[in-house]
Amino acid sequence: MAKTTGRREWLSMVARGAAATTLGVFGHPRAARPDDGCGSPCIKHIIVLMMENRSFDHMLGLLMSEIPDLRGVRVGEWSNVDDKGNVHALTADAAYQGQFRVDPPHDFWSAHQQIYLHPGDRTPPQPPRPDMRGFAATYARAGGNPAHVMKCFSPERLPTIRALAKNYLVCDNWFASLPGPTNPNRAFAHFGTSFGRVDNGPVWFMMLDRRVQHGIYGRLRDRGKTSKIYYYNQQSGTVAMTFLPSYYFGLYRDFVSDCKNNALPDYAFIEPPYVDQDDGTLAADHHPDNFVLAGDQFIRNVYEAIRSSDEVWRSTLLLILWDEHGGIFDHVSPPTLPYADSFRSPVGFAFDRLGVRVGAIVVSPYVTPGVSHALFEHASIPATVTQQFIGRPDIHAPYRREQRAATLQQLLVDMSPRMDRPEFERAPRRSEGGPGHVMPASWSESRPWDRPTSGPTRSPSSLQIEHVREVHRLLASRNAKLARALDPHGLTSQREVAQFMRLALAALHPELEGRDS
Amino acid sequence: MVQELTPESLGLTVCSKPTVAESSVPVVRDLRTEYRELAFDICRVKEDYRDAGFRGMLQRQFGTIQDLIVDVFTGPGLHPTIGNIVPESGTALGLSLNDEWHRAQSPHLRFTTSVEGRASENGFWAAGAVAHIQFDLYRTYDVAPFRMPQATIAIKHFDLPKMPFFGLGNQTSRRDRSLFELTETELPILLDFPVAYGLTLSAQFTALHAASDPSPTFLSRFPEASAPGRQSRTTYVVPGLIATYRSPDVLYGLSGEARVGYEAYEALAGGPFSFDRFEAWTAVHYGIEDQPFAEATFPYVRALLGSSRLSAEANLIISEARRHSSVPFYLQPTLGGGDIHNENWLRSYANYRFRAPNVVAYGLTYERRLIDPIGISVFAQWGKVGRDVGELDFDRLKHSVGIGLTLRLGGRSVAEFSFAWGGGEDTRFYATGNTNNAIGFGARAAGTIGLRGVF
Repeated sequence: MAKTTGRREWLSMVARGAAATTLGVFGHPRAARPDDGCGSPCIKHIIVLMMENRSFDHMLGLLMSEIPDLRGVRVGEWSNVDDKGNVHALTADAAYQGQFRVDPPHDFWSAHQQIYLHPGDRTPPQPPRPDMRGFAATYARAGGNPAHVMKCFSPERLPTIRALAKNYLVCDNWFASLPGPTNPNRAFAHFGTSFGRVDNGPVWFMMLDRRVQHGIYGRLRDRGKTSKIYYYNQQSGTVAMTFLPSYYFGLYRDFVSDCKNNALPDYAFIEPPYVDQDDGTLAADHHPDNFVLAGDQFIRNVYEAIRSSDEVWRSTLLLILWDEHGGIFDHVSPPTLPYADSFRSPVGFAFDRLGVRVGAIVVSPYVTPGVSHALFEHASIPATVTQQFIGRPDIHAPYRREQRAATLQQLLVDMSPRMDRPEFERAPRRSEGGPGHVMPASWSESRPWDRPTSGPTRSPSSLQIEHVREVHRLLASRNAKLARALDPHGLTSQREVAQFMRLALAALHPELEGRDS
Repeated sequence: MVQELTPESLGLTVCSKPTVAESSVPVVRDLRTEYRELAFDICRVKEDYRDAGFRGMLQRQFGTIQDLIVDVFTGPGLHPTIGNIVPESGTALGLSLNDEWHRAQSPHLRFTTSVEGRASENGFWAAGAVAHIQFDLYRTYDVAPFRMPQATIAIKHFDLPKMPFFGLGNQTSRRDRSLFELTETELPILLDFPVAYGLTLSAQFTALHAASDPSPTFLSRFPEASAPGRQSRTTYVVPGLIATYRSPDVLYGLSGEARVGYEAYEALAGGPFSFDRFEAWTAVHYGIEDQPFAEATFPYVRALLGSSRLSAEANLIISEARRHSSVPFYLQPTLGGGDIHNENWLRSYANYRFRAPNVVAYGLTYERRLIDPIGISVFAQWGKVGRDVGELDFDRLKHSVGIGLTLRLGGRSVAEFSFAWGGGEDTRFYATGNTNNAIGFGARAAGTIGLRGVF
């Protein structure tokens, strides 16, 4: 599959290089090693929260206006054509609920059509090209409104995701493990493979070979490590209940108390409530057409549970991600891999092509705000856990995709744990629910979409804000008087950031005064 | 212009889904979507069979058959249903049509309906419709996501031609078993207002019409004094208030739930049958976690108990007839086997065995993992009925004990096959299911995956 590097990709690489240089000032990434206990930085708990069926662009893409390094989207920048020739441009008016009365198709073949189809093109490319043009057409064919799969969430509509993305590390090159539905993709998260399956049969995990059926959980147990899947409650259930025995399970409330009591297992996998509950509790898994704000609140609750114990927080890596795209548009072509899985699907698929890109946020006291462009997929989850608690995945993982998957340890920085907290804006209230008339966090703020997306009045990036804070800390130790005069808070534009940095650097390095052009 | 991409062009051999037209009519939309899913599922099953025959199909792509089963029986659209209607009805088959009529985010509103009809081998039948609506009037935050107020509106009709009756009270004989036909039409409206910390306050208003048509044997054995309203047709309005508490669900440690309700049965027609009903139910559970996660204080005891769960349950129903009124026998609660709501108390006895205006029952259950996914349970139940509240003491409680095999998924029992004895009235087998939404069979929430019909 040919893949070109566009202007934005080049800018991202340059920015990534700059960020890496900046990080080098404060520390250096280092993979954890099993032979020195919890590694360095010390990660004792890896927690994965896997949501359902939303693409990267749909959930995180518009954050590019606030995190410039992000490989996201802008309104109107991308479009799909349906079979009738109607053009559906990318918009920022995704609703919490009501736009997916028909579930967007995302079975194995539909996902291929979304990636390769060229509706309206009289001479479609041969061989087929993964240009991400088939989302609107496949949704229309399924009886849905094709415009809806092109809608993205404005960042302020998802206050938790926005705050975590801006304060921790976004992986903008994380792809579903295969172009297909939930279960085989979740299988990659549990086993590092789907054993050649691309279908969504609900209990096929039961058919697995007894020797391997416990996946990463059995592997950990064999090494004396602990793991647990926390699911919301019995009404909601867990996908894993068909292949794991009882002692691997807890309910979500158990997770909350285990965090508080510092009793978490080494590895924890969290499943949100998948269905609306009898008592009125809303499904919070983000699956279309469940109420998306409930999922945002659930993510916040998971974060707060971990923060309820400083000891747990200091030793935890939390990964929040979505299992697959759910038939919703993303603009990045899934890459092919130079290697296949250990299994081949009966339909001829060798698992050498990834699925559509999904959002992933790494939350830990050992990451700095920013974006990682490293290539990850769901097999990276067991690979990371293996790397952390057992040993090198290329030696200890049983199947090829996991053996070759990138691990998250490369994103961690060996530094003092960050104990700061993001500022979570409040969720829109019911009267503010409609897209286009969402109240900003405070009426004194200008609306984010009123801000220019380029130029000196643009919002500062999270990386810039973090940099300002670091410089201010340094300034406070050297020139307390000036530090008091320079308030690092409340900088609302890149121009103000530049002014701050100029003054601070002039005080810190007077020898450089006047040398910049 | 529709331009097709062929699986062969990508080196694949897979079925594709047929195109369906968009529709704003929910029923049409859901039926079309269901047709699309079923056509796809059938294509895949056929493809598997063509490639490798029955054996290969089961080995290689068992998931395709599962998908077909799930799509046939669950989700929006038209589905066959199978089960019972009430105890003694026998196996019932039917059809249900599940639809989501409306979903909107501002304000959050979800309007779900299910229409269903079932008929059984014993001539029982039932039909009904239920709608759930959620309102974003306010939000409460309990454990993780939030709750909103919701309304449930239903209309149901039951025709139950052969319901057993043994007389009222605890001292009845199985030899007096007589049959009566019960027809009920009810229109309940339930409004749930979540408060916080697992507490929900509910208001209900039910319109109820019920009629009893006893058999000649029944009439000869039970005069009006011993079976109030034995040939009556009563119409009620039933306002009520319910408070429900449910602590956060846990697999290990302490959790509990409780429900307290009051209903005023105001008879509008059919005779002097007005009464008030008070109901209280509570259950306390203690889950014991298996190794290696537990910090075992008593390691040997922990090892003995394994992954297990102890539950204690109590149920109380008090029906107080108004002055010059009585409680019709067919609206009196029962103990024994299963009751009309498919609740199981005193399982070693026949269905509906003991009947009276007042009921008290207690239960203890211990369930332990054997070899996943199989567990074992032992239970003991006590209870009695009373024509007066004063009879509900601990003297001469009926009892049942039993043992069962449980199917455990996700660390919790979801289905049970039990064998019960006690009380000198023979032994009985029971199968109880507590199936789970995650694999497609749902409860009654305004749900997504688990829409399964009215009953």
